[in-house]
Amino acid sequence: MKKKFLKAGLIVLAGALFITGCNKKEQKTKQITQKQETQTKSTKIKIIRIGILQPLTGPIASFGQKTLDGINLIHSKYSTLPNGDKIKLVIADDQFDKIQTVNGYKRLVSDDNVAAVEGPLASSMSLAIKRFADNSKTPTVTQIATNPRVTIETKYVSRTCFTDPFQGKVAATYALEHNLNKAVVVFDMKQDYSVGLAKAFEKEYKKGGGKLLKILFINTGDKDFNAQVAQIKRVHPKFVYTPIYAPEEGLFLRQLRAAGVKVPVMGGDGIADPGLLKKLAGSAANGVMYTDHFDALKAPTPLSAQFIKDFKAKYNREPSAFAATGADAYLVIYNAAKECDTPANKSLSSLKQCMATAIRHTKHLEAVTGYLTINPKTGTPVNKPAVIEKIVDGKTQFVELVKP
Amino acid sequence: MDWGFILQQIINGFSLGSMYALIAIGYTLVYGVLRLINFAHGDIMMVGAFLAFISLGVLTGWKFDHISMAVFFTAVGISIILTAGVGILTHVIAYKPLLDKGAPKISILITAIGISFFLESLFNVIANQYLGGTYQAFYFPKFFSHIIHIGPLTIPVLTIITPILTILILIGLLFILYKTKIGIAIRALAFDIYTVKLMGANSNFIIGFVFALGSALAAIGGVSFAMAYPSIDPYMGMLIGLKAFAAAVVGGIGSVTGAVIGGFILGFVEVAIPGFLPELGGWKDAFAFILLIFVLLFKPTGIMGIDFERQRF
Repeated sequence: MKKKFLKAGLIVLAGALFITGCNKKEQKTKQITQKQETQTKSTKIKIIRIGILQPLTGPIASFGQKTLDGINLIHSKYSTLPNGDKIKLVIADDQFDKIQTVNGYKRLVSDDNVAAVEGPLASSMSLAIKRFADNSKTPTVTQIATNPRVTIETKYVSRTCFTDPFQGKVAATYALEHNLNKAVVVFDMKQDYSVGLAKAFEKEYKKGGGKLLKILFINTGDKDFNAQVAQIKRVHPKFVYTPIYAPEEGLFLRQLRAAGVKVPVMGGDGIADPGLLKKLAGSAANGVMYTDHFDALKAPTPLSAQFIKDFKAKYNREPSAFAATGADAYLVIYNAAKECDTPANKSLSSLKQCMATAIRHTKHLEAVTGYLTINPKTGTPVNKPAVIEKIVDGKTQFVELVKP
Repeated sequence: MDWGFILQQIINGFSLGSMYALIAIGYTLVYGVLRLINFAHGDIMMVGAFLAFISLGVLTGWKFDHISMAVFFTAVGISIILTAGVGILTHVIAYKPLLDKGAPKISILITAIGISFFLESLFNVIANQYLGGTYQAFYFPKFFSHIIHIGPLTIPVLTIITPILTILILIGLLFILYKTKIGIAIRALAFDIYTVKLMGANSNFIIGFVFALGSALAAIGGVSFAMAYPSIDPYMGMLIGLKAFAAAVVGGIGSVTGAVIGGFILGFVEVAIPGFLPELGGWKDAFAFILLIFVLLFKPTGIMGIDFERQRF
């Protein structure tokens, strides 16, 4: 008998617990709906963090700093989503070093709980974090990593710039159009960007009927290029293509011109730093050309006209391509956040998942360097034009705009 | 292969080698006295170049258009003195406390690597915060960039001055080491540090002097490098320092003459590889270290080397 009583008692107790439990659940859901209501009434704002991983110190610190100027400016204009939620930037330094890049990326994802990452700037660094982006399912938008491998075989890394095959083609076409049909290529074998761009140029140049006299290589951090210069001098080219970075380009130009080689020299967006080139090469920087993403004289959208105006007002100079591309990637992320920041994506992981898809499906988004439509398969914008710039007296001069 | 070309390469080799030699001497001096590989020495060279740049900037009001010889040498002088101070400071702050406690050599070596990273980061911050960028162009009077044409030879003035300077410094150094009282004290310290201490010599002062001397030479080396390749950055000391260390080991670490010989050998290899085998030009850094391994295989103590460890025990 006692046992029966006990059993009945237990059943009653369990039932009571169940009912109260249900009540609690109901209360909870009520609370949540109330919370959401209050949220939309903008009493409680959600903060979405976005990681900015750029080379702020190290050899190409000037690239990262210029990019950050653009990001800061565009963030000051677009920091609030239409539903009232705020976007907060978490800035990290990749130091143009693979280990620091990976560490910085991991810190942003797991400690700072960012919803998306903008960067890294360089192709080698973007390739280094590709696997971590996939594992943590973090949407990552690099604004200027042009190596094609950066965005393939991943769903999470996208870019907002053209790729090296196009950049190499622009350079090769320009050279051949100007009858510069005998060329030497000098590339940096430690950089994925440089290796890829050199190959792209080589392919297009040969296809167009140009003759490649020599392919020479250097290493990041080299200061003595006399060996390469001596060989260039010996083969008498009409054109020298240097898809390397600005610190090396500066000294290379100085030594090339000192040896009396006066042929046109062209590089990729890796040397797009006229200030640094002038500092390192002096007058030897005059006349060097490079392919780039944006020219402040050619505002392609109303938004970019406004951006250029605001930039001049804030920093008292014209925005570089780095600032413009930095703003572009931010806008793509902002646009995705706008689309995905809904009650359905309450958790960070579903927000990230939604943003990753939204970024890859960006369509005709008005940005600073033009209207962006990203190909969902390749993660690369379609029909992104390039500009050719020339350095004259330490300042850039627009040469031409090349559409794909 | 014409003689002009070969002569040209020899001149280039002399010039590059003398720069390595100036830095290698610093490694060798400190090793001779303390049996310590001062891995921060390459960065001391960087500090020398940066301090010269900064003092030049301060003296000229950051206008580098016309630099007179007097101003330039004042700036270099200031840099040499300050860099010597930095050298003494690294010893007093980082190495001396460890040496006094009788810490194992490996701990001091790790400390040296720590100092190296500290100096790199410090000057990275200075360059980015106050000088406006990691990379800085180095300016010097126009005289040094003159190029002398003798027949087919093109000889920049700098490539003649640096080797002559190095030889003069070597003679001066040998004079100090063999003819002055402090030189005798340094050699005694290198021979047996404990007995010298027992004899009542001020070993701290002598070690400090050695660090100052090595750092001053590194500053001269740094300025020569900055003039030959006019771009300075906080990380320039890393590879150059390693190569100078290789030069010191090839020449026989602990021997000043050996360091200079090692420096010249390394300079020649680095010029000859790209000069005569242009296809291998990009690999010239690798050859410096292949040479190191090769010499050590046949002569483990280096060319002029004395087996310090065995001699002592």
